[in-house]
Amino acid sequence: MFVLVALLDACGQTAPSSASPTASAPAATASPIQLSVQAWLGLGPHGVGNLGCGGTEIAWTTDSQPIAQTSKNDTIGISNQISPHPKVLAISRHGGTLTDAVPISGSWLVNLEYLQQGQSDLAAFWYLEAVNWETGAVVDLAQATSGVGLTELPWYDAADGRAVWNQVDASGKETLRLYDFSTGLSKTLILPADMSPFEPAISGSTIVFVDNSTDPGRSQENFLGRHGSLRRYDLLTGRIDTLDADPTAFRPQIDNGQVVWTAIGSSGNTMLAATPVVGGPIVTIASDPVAPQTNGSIVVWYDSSTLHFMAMVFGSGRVVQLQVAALTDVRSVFALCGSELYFALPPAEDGGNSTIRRVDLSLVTASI
Amino acid sequence: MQAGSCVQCQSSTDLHFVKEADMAFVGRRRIAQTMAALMGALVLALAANAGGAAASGGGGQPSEPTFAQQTAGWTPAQIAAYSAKLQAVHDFAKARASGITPDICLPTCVPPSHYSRMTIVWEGSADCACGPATAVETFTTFNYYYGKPNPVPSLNATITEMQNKGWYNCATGGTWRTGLMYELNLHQTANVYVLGAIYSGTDVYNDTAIDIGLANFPVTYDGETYGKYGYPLDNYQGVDWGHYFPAYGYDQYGWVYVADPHYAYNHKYTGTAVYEFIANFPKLSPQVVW
Repeated sequence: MFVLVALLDACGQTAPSSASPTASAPAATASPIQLSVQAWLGLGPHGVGNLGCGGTEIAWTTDSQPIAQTSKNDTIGISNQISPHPKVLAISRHGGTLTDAVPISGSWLVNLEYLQQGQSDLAAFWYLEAVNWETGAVVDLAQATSGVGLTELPWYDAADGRAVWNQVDASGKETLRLYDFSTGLSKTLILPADMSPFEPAISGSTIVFVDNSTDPGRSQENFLGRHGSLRRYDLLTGRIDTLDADPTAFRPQIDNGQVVWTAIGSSGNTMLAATPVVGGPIVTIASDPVAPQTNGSIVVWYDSSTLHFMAMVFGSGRVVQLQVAALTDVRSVFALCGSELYFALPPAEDGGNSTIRRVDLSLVTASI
Repeated sequence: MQAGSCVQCQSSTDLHFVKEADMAFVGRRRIAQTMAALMGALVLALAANAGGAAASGGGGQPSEPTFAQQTAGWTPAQIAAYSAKLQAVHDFAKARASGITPDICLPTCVPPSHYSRMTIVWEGSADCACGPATAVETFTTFNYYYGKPNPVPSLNATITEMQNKGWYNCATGGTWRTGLMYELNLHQTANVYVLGAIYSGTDVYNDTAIDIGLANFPVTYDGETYGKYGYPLDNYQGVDWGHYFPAYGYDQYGWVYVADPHYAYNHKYTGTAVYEFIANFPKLSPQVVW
């Protein structure tokens, strides 16, 4: 209740931007670090569409049929990190795909089932749900089966007892929705009327999201390609701040006081950027990042130029290439879980099978 | 669907182009020369390079046509032109494999990089299908280099036309790959589009470089963003989406440049990434429409 009152009090006013953050110079590059890899779980001839983690649990999306015959994931598996005994947590209930993200908060896992309409940028339907991996209980968070809601698949995240996602309301306006697992209540966050929120990420009582309203090209974009300014929403006070006014930010991640995101640089290349969640200077870390993730002390991403994982320990100012075993291309689905990086190579690059592997990044943190 | 808004989704953003007038001339001259040299048939080679014979249709779409079906009705000149293109790709691939760089001359030189002029047609959230948008983008290139009588149909008109002909249906299977080929052949005569079998990223690059570098013929790619090759396209991480886009350029570093109807900016992918995107779709054999 306290949170709700605080939100209403805020009336969606945008607080002044936390100064005008000054972008720093790109980080320097250090010598590669050799890392050994450990096979964690073999899945056979099935793909891995996404990996997620929370606490000591690892979850993944996969397919019930060999991937040579299908590309549609219809199953979510989960297992304990330390003692892997995988079990099926969820299966497709509507004939769609379960490829998307599987963030875990406590005993809850959030997932999205959707079906593309033909080869359009519309969905035929989508269902966002939470599953309790201890009890099997299911909570339907949101859905769209007709109308304007099909124009956008929601982007979503879950952490610290809450799930957050963006959703088009009946009037066609983008909204941010929040679900509290402890109370079972959901609500729409109150934002300024001119904001268009996308791609929310949550940590503690802080949500960061992309405000697409500042993107000059927004009328021509679909949900896959939206960019915008980076905003911060404090659930305790309802205050909204701007972390980066530049209208090219997308795919933010937040954890333990750090925010990382991708932006489009002046040359048209994508750039990895970061800033403390409390605001401050924006650090431009590297170019061509794919799926950057952070645990608050380190940021890890796949570099589409070097074909390796790259990492930077916050405060070090140095980017290091991670040489994982002898792999020459480590393009994969991956998840940063504490100080360990879990990843699964595409089956076509891994002998026709999927194996979830892990590397310990403690050495990286200690050596930079 | 939302047909009334489609025209608004077309932008006039032009992508790069280099020496377009020269290249158009070179393309015509080069094909004419090679046609004369290669009239001695390449039927087996043609069939081997044309996709479709072994594949079954997917997504509720008709089966892929055999090579004989694709070429039914071709004129001798069209067969000769296609034979010439195949020979050029073969020679280009052989030269690249032997390390020749940057200019590969067959004898007409394939420039180390080239970017044809293409107008991006954003599919946008109000439109429905990337297949028709890809066709319209491709027509803008032909219109620029080869001119009328090839006026560019509007996205609306293309959607309607492809729907009426059974080549596209938003609600069921999207755009039929062969339907895109038919559509591309309907509004221009400079290139006879076929389904070209590919087996690697090198094939994607070579096919693209020959078509664009020699003649400003855009090449189109149809695939799936997730599959046995994972997520090969950096713009589509975590999303399982069937999609089309055309290539308008290439460079000497192995990149092909695409005008994705989903994005407001042009983008480049490696030939390997495009191959994997195409091969991710399990119901059709890997092919480019070129």
